[in-house]
Amino acid sequence: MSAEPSVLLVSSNGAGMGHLTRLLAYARRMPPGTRRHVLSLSQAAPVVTTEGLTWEYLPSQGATGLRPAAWRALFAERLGEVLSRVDPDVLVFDGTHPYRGLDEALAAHPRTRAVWSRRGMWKPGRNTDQLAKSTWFDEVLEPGDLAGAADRGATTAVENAVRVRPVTLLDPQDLVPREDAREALGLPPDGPLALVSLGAGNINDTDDEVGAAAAALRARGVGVCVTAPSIAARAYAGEGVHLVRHFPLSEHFAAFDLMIAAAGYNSFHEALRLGVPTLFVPNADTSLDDQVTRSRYAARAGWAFSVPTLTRGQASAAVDELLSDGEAAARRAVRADPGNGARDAADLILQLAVRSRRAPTAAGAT
Amino acid sequence: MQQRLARWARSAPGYRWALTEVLPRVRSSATLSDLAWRVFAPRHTAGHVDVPLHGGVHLTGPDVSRVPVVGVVALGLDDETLAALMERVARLQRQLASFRPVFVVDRPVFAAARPHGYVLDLVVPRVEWLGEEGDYLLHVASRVAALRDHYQVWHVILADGPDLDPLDEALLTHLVRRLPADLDVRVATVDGSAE
Repeated sequence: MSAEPSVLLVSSNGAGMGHLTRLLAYARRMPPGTRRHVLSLSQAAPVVTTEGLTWEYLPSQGATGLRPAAWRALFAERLGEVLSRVDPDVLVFDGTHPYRGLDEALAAHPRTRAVWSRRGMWKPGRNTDQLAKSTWFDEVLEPGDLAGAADRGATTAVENAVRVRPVTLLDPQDLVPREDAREALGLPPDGPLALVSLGAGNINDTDDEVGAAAAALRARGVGVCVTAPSIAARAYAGEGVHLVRHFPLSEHFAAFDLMIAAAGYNSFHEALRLGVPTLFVPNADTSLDDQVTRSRYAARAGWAFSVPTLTRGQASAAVDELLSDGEAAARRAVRADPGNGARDAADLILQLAVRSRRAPTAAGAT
Repeated sequence: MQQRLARWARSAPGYRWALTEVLPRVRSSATLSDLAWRVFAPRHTAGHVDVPLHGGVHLTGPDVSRVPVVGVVALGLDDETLAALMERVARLQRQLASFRPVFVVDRPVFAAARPHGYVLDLVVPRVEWLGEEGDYLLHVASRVAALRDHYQVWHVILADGPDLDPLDEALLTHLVRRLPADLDVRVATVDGSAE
């Protein structure tokens, strides 16, 4: 056991960067001496080096194509090997579906305490069987949701979760000034620019939505920037757009005057907390994340705008509204911001690390 | 569905008894083992073992999951060399249609693997290994062993550059002859259909 606390951050695969980014938000707020190691099922794992973390990658069941039972055996063996080698005080798993095998690996390494970090806002009636797996963990940590009042998913009935304020990697004071941000991203220094970020394209093809957004923005003299995340199945190939690829992109949000984004947990909270005038286009095809409810709630609260689609002639009116009233909406969102819950989450994890080190032989998982 | 069926089977009356009483007796009897093998064991030679695995975009057809899996362990190479190695393996795969590779590397060359649809498994790079040298070799060895156990690889290739060892290439070429004649596997066109 080393002198400093040690945390193993395990991210599930997911379709975007959400799980990994949330873990980085916790890691960033731990004391500098804390040993932080990432085991990720996402091919975006190398981005954690930007935060000074070490990492390793384990291909997900979807990436390998193995039978679920075969992959679970692989996962259990690999996690067990990492636990033995890294010997963390705490393991933090971020995901909505703790994989079978995690329980076996934790049971074989009882010194390590375990935290299940899982956001709420699940589609009603979905994934309820996963909640029983909370018994594998010492704590269940739920990053809050600014639209939490509208949440009707299964997690709302859970009483023993530790709920913290919404979590984002960055805070408003972390934003790079506009000129520097544009230079860093290779964008023109002048003129209005909009960021169009409608997901990594790994759930469904969003090219039609991006194309409609780009056309409406360009018609109004607004330059168009499209995200090209490292895990995207492919980048949008439309003409006349700036492709932006940077992690974390949110540190350069000052480069953009507007944003048109999907309503995944990360994009949603980054846009609202960092004060970017935003039009949400929720992805209704996600398996669990209730983006539609989240997006509508923000619109009803007057923090942003929401439309189900930009195709079929919807884009023009939506973009006009965003241009005329977006800044006022963004100011309302910033005023309603309760602050970042990432520090609270990091404190909880480190408290568990202390308990693990005081009672090294106590059973971690139950 | 499979999980529910498995749970149902495990909870069925007699499951525990069969597991703890019957199977050990069958295993300890040479006659019963031989009988069980003749009746139940599937053929396990090349081209007969069904291994669902994303073995790349270059092969297609109803029997593609029976194409043997080959591990390619390539450590200590730079990104450019690894990309060239994948190209070489892809050309061989399209030429022979006799194998599906899974790569064990120590660099995150996801972008190079993505156009081929190859599975990458990563080990910690030697330069980042903080423990003893011998422990590093055990770390790599455990990953190679996992290739055999979990991906059911037919052969493991150790690559130290952009080309394969001539013997490995000869083996993959020879493998064509060992595959069943009725194996329905074809080389994919650019759009994913069969040539």
